[in-house]
Amino acid sequence: MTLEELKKIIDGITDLPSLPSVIVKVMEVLNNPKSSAQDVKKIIENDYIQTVRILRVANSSYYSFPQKISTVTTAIVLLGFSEIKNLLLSSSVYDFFEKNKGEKQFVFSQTKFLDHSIGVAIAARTIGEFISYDEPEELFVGGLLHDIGKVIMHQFMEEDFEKLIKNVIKTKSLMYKKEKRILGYNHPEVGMMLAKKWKLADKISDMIAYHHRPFLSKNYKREAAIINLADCIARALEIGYAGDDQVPIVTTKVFSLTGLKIRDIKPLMQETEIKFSETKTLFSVKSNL
Amino acid sequence: MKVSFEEINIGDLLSADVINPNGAILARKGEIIDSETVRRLKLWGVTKINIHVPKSVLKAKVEEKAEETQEITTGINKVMDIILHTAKKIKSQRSVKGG
Repeated sequence: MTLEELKKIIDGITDLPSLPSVIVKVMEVLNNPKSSAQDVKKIIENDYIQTVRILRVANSSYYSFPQKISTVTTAIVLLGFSEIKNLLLSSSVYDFFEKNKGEKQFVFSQTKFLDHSIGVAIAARTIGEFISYDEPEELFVGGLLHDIGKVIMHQFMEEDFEKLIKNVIKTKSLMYKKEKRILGYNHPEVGMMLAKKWKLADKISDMIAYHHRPFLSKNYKREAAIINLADCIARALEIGYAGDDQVPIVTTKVFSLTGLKIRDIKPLMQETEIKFSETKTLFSVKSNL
Repeated sequence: MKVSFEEINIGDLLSADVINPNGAILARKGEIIDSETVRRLKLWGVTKINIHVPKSVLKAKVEEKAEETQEITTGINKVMDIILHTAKKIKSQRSVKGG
């Protein structure tokens, strides 16, 4: 299958999930340099779930602000616009996974698939902290979304996906290594198309498209390499399940792209392990209401 | 670069005309390869086609492949050694804590 054919399929899916309107509106407002915290607050406050999540995250140990944050405006001022944007995006993606959970029987556990995505997101953000990356939350979003193509394939190209899974399990291979040969397209390509449709930033789209081949990214090799490593770490730690039980190899060259030192690996993995359960609770607002 | 159909990537272009034994052009240089082209070429028994790949992509692909092959054949990849070793340790601690 070629780009055009795949694009036709994706374009033809009329019920392809769209980004929730709250995040679309917030992105519009945030892209306007004249916007104030008040403008953003007005949009978010209409959405109860998002409000709860933002306050919960703002009060989490991740930021460890000295006093309790009780209003959305304070959270926006303290966290900053881009952090709020990334948070809302993560939150929307989480809902997207949750919403698509019940409708069809997944060939493997969807809860575990979400765990894998969260695991990669946390590992990626932690890598970002180790290398003092400007916006670690962006890496979190990239990690959360890196395998979104698999969700689309499961939901809308079900026959293909089942055929693939069966083969991957039987031959004990990494899904990525098989899909091109079996289906003619692969999950990073599908994911990239969704990212374009959602008009996500190029950086995010490249993290999705090149998380198995970081060197092929034109402008965001480092970010793609970070997701490549994060994917490997989450799989090595057996956090969640991505559709196969392989641990992809991170080459030394890809590792050096990330900017990490060899001695960082151990503490990085320990930190990922600790943060995983903590972050999961932050997002699961719905089940607690 | 001459590749088989399985190796074609999205957005690839033909870098040379494909001609059948009678000299008729099956597909033209510069054409975006789609399923119709592939079907037609396969019908004529074509197995490999020339595609245009930007130099930078080509270089990255070659380097990546070389490195991966080297690390697999020699088994020397310090990064993976540490990751797998640390993972084993963390997982064993997990099962102790979890009871």
